Amino acid sequence: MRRPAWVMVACAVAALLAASASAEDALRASASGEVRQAGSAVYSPGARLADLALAARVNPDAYMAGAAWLRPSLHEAQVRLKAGVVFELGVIRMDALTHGKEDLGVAAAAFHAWITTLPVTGRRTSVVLDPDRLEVSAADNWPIEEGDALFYPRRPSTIRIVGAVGKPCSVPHVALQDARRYLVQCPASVAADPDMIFVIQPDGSVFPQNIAAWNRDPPRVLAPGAWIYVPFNRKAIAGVTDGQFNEDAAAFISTQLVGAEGSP
Amino acid sequence: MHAQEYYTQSDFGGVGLLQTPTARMAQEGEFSFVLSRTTPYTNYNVSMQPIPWLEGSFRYTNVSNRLYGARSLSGSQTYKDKSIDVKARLFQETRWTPAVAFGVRDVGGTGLFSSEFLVASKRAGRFDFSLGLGWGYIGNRGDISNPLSIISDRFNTRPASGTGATGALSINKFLRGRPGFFGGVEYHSPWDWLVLKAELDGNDYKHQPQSNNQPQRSPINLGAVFRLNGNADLTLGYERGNVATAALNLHANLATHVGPEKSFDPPPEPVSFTSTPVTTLPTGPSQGTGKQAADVASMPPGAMPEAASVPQRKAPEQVDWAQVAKTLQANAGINVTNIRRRGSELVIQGEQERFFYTAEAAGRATRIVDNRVDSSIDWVTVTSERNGLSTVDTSVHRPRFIELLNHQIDLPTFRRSVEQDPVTSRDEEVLYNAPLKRFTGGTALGYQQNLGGPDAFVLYQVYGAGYGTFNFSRHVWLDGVISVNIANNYDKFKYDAPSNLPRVRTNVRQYLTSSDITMPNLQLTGTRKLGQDLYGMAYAGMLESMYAGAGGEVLYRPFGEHWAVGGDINWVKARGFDQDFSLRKYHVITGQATGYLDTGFHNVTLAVSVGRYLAGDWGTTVDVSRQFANGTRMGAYFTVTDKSGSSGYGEGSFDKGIYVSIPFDALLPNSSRNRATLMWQPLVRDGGARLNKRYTLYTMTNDLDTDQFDENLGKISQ
Repeated sequence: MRRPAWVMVACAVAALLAASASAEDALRASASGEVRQAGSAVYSPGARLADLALAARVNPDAYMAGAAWLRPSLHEAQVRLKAGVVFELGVIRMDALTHGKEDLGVAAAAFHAWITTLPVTGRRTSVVLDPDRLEVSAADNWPIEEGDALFYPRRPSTIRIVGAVGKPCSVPHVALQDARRYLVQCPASVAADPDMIFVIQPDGSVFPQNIAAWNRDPPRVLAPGAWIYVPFNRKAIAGVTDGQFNEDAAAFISTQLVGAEGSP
Repeated sequence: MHAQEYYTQSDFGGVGLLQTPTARMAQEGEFSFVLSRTTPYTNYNVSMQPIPWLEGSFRYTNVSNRLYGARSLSGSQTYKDKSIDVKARLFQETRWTPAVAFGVRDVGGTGLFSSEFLVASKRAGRFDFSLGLGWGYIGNRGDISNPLSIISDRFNTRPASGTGATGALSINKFLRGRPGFFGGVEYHSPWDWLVLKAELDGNDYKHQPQSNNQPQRSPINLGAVFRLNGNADLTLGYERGNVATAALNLHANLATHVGPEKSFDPPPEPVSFTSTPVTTLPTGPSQGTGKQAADVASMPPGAMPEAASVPQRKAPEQVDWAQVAKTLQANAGINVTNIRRRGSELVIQGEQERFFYTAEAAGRATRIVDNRVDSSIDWVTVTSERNGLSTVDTSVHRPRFIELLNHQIDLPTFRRSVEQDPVTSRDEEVLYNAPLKRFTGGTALGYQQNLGGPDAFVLYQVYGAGYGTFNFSRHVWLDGVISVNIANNYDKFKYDAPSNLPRVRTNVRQYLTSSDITMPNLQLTGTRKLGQDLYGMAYAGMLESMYAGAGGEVLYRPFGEHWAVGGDINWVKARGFDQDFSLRKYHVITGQATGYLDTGFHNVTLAVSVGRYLAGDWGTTVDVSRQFANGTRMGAYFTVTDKSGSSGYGEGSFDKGIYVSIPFDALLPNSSRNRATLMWQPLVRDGGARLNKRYTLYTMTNDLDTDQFDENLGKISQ
């Protein structure tokens, strides 16, 4: 069957485009922190986390529990999350001031000032990033995307306590100590929820923990670099927020990096 | 895990202290069996927690110093009582207010231990305090006059209870008489294995049922619970100031229970991760060798399929579909009826015979197809069929499925490329029609029992059964069962329950004891899809061990909806006691219209039937059950007819029971679609009795439960 010439040309152009598209399929991804091969590199399409982590040659003393996977495509959602938290804090503060609840207003203003300074990281939380574990666990070894970055911190020695506290604190980590016991070193403000806290482990996993006498959960041990978010009293903020404020704040804090900026 | 979920069971079953309940609830899905001994009572309790705020218990109480009845009838057997309890939490605990629950013990039974109570519980660290007010058995001490007497004087006196008080709904006794206080404290020690209990008993033991009064030196009971492991608790106690008590509690959470590794199942076929969307590759048998080789080369060494095992993918027209059907039966459990093609979609219609989870079977089928068919097929659809009725199409996007297996996308992303649709006929090309297997059959060992009667506590039978099915077509079949007695203790079975109604169930003894060789079932059944979402069935023969006859059923169960309506009508005649082909005189037209509603509330399904029962009585059955994600079901039912109460029902007033239905899949090392249903029915009576049909359309169309599919979608990659 004879084909007109323009069809042949179109086919050739299409083939060229396909070839250049496959060149563009190559991915740029980077690693930083406690790695011997920091910086960005080009990976073939279909590359996975293990390829990136092995290429970075992670130092033996890197703190795996706090390693972070930063993904540009998650930025947008986290910008929204942060904006929501910041906005609701503003509303909480305004409402508290108009109703003469000074303690709540002050605590909300302080937390507002602090959380505004936190960067949006695009961190994907609760994932395995230990190169050796990635190699043997196919289910954890996700394909990487353009712009992905791995960050391996040093092992910190502190726990950070933020939220409805007088002032954000950084307290020394104590092995095997229940999360609740750290609160003594960083007194909660009057605006705090007396019944619970959120524990955020260094891998970004968030655990609500009941701490009052009537609902106390079994002790939970923190890893170095963990956060404790002391939530605002649910009842005090119920009228002005959507009921998810504390969960959202904890979720946003969980995207922060261990040992990076934003520490109190 | 939350500390407050470690609540333990009382002597009477249900979360509580020793003799008394608390306002606490077990974890959702918890199932407990408690055996407790407090002289002269031994309690065998089964407790269930179908939803977070509702607890149900069933109990046999053995009274060791009272005889069941006349020696001539029951020999030296001691007295047995059966009862059902319900407890509902009204308020959750908050910082300042306690949890509050209201409960009824021994509801609607003989009422020996009948009680109503309101109880509050408040926790402080390791201590959990409870205080309650009980009417009836629990509050027999009668500390105060009844506060409800403000409403009516009739609350001042509680009608007598005991075995004599039959024929009356025990609701007539509700909250009547002087109530007594009860309560106590539970201490969770720093050791997980030890819980201590101290309790104020509200019962004075001076008004025990059957004049079986007990001495009591102190109203304080003490106990210690030793948590032997995650599934067993041993309670040792000291009650009434003079008796030592013990209780063993075996418990498990049926909602979170994960079945054993399915090591007896054939492993799913490995795939070679070379499937590509149909749009990006040319079609035809010669496609993709270069690309395929490149992909295989880029795979890690461990994942490299051996050259011999890489199947040759062929165009659908060239595939040996008979062979594929065999593999689908062996590996995906699908007894294939036919295989068809709609453009780039391959449709496998058949009956799932092995896998409890539709998703798992769909995944296995997709793997099998992926290994054999070229990329002109990009959707694989499995049409679920049951007894000739096709119910639902489950479609998997083949490239997306391969990406899921290759860990390139996660389950939430994959979810968008799998769907369930109603079965509709479309333009199709039939690739394969499986021949009809005419005869299937086999043998099995069986066990049945009859608990708590006057003759012996357990009447058991071990039997061998032979069963067979002859298929006239996929829609019409004849099947039957022959049962041969191997061992039983039915020689002790002498008691016939009295009856004021036609004996439609109470002559169970004759049916069990008359013959060693019985034919419980022999029936001809036909099914037909009467329209979209409308299913029909007709049957005739020996329908169950006590009845023969003919009948039909229709069910309207719209796809994707959470409700269904149906009805059946049967003309049945009582069978001879030998369970052969003989018939007795009694015959009746019976049938019910039933509405099913999945309420969406904690997966609770409500089934309400209205109609005529076997004894010719008219009435209503309400069945409420909760299904957990793993397929386990807990439920309760009651039937009230115009013969209930004092109109002839007799002991027990109305028919009721609680049940648990556990998929074998959760217990066995191989996949199975069968279920074990354990039913606790206090009394078998003639009122409110239903025909035990071998097939029901609602269970036949259960694949339409798309929630179950969605909740277990993760099984697709197993």
